[in-house]
Amino acid sequence: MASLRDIRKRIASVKNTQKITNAMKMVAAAKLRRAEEAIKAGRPFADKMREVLMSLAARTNPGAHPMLAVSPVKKALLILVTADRGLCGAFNTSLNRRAEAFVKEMKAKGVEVELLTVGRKGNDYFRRRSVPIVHKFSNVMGNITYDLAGDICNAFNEKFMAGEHQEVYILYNSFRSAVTQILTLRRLLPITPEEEGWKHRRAYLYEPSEEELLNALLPRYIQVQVFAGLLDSVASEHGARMTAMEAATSNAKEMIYKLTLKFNRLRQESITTELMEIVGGAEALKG
Amino acid sequence: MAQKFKVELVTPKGVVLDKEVEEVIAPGIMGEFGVLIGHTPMLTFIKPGVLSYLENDRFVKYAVGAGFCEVLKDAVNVLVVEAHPADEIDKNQANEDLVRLEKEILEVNAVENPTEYERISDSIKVTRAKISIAN
Repeated sequence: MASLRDIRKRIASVKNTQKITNAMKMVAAAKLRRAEEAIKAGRPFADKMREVLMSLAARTNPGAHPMLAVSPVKKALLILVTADRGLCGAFNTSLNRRAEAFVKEMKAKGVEVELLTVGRKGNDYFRRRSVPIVHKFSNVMGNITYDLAGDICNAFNEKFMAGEHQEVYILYNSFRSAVTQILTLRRLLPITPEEEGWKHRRAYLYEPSEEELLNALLPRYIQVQVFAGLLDSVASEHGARMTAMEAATSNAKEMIYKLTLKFNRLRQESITTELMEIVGGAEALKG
Repeated sequence: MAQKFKVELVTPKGVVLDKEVEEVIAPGIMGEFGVLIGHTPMLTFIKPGVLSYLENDRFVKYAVGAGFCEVLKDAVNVLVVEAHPADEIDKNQANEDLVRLEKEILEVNAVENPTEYERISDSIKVTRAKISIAN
């Protein structure tokens, strides 16, 4: 049976935890707002890029650039975008589990999968598993820049162009709202214009030639896609953390309520017992 | 008064400029080019340098990074990795950056590490453009 003092200690400790979770929630909310703004700010660039590429790629044939060429797949690369830190609910777990399922699926089709991890959690999870990690970017999610997306692209473009990987996928949590994140798996390479809905085109004067433009634009298009994925992942992470911390705070509140109830009941009980003893003692003295 | 057309300057960090202007001068890869309304639709690259537009007989300048530019009949869309308006540039900071970058580029081997080399040399060009338009 817990003593009064034990319960009092317990309440104090839960209260402290509640303060921490509440503070984390507030921080996540502030960061979420900033991340959301970054997504909004980045959207026009991505949209315009897509528009221009649409008209450009629709006219050229798939053989024009290795990034457009579909070849039989033996080895694929999966870019796994997770968070650097935990305490954000099922955010990382669901990503890792999906990635593992993906590796199995591909293996069933006879395709070997290698990983490129962005964010510490994905790397931690797969380090001890049998999936090879060819490249990792850790502790980068705090500061997402367009250059970072460029570095990531360079890491996998080289291997893709050298024919080491025939397909490149990206797995991340895409941001819908503060409470909903959607697990998204997309193929980045090769690019298939039909799938991306590239049909329409405009009559342009090209300077330099169309091919040269296409050569330079395709890697940038991929970079924009990766960049957008990273921004989405960061916003999702903060959203998930906010929700998780909110739940933790309300759990702590409930726990404090129950403990206080128990504490009061115990105190009442001990007072009653003491009273009974005094009354009993007085009665005995009267004797 | 010349007729106006819309120009948009967009970076991954957001829309920097969205305005009706009379003329745009951009640093194209095949040389600097000016655009007035009714230009033939064109698609070209932008190299790091100075982009300016004419508004009320005054040129407003931006230091821009690499990217590309889409010219339409009644609009110009410029997509670059970075863009800095002249009045937001800190000249001292830019000078410091230039010194640092010029040191950095000496340490990078252009043959072994071409992407890194290109990145730094682009930064140098942008910084030079910044210094040239800062007031």
